Amino acid sequence: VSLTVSTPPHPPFERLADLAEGRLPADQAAALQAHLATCAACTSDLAWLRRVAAVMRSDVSQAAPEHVVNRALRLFPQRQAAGAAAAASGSPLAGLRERLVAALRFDSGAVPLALGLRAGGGPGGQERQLLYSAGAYEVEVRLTPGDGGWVVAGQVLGPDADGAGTATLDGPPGRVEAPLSPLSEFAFPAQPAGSYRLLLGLAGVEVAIDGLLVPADGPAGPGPG
Amino acid sequence: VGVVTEAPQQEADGVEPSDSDLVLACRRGDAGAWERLVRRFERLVYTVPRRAGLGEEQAADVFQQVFALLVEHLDGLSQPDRVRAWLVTTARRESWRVGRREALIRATTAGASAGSEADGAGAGNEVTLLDLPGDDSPADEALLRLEEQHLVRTALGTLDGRCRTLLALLFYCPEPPPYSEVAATLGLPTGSIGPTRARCLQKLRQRLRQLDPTALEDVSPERKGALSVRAPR
Repeated sequence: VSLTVSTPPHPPFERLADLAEGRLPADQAAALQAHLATCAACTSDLAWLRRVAAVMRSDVSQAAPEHVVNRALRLFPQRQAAGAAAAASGSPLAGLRERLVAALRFDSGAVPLALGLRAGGGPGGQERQLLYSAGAYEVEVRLTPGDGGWVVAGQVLGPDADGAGTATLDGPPGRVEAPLSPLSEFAFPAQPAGSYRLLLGLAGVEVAIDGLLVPADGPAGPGPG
Repeated sequence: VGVVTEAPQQEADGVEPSDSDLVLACRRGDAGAWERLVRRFERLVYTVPRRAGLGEEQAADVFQQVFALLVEHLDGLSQPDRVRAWLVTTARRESWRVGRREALIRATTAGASAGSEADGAGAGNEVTLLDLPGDDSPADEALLRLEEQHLVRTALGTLDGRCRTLLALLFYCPEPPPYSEVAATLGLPTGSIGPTRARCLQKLRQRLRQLDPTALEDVSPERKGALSVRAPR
């Protein structure tokens, strides 16, 4: 009666799902494949079905323990409280760069001494590493023996440590500045012994490390001495 | 499996707020929105450090740090609808940082026995999924996959209980049970499992499109090859 037989009907989504999961008998699968060869819409549906099944079947994600989630939930009231306190004290938060004072978390020079380990063993043994944290920021400082003193270098990691900023080192010889690298690394030429202050100026904050001690003696152990 | 029992909040066809809605509500001080945001992403944020090889304690540290940073940056996120990518990037970076710190401490305290390999250069080897920050390594592919898994789970959580159970049994079980068993579990005739599954998958697709219009939809040939490894032929 009708001549409009040119477009074959699309198979139901269910058939495609069966095909995706290998649940169709061979003859039905072959017939369906023949349709797919000419139908972009069904081909795309089948591809989605395969993909979503692969995503689900490969999912080995782990839920965070409830106490860990609860601890994170408590962060929000703290934020509200901090905001309210700032508002009450009338302190203008905008425009001022907050200064964070970093605390020493780790000193490679202290650990081996305390444990009686590694007095300058190996080529890396000359280097001293210190890790500081300040709020969300972490600063690694490396002291390496250099020309007439110790090279002070390192890296700052944290929220807006994205390579924009300046490192400033204040100490006995005066003040030196160095731009941060794209990885937020800094490096100063060799410095003489003394107590230094390292300031890392980032977009939103300034991280300060006070009392950074550059040793008076050269490196310990079987160095050039 | 988790999907069945955990799937939160809304049983029925309620409209889930978008990621962006939640961020904006948090900015207005809505503590309920913060809870939903944390619960929506908790699995994703916790899985990144675990997949990076960190232990439970370190992963918990990373988790807390990531959400602390999010609280801090709620007002500064320039694209609230990209909070998922922000969380993944931040979790990756924090995992790398914690992993490196742990390795450094281990290497230094073990320095006497390990000798010259125990300096900073060897310390990064522990963290494999994450490589270096900002590179485009296989880690990116793995993280992309984690994001997709997150999206599918989130979409699944918005479906009705029957669809959730059915899809969980069929797709999240390492050994999917036969239809007859699935039917018994759901109290349905065996013959209805196939059609019900198809309908649930269609709903899932619709919810996924609401969550992220591009998720799982762009199937270029090479991508398809990479992702269909475990798909039945």
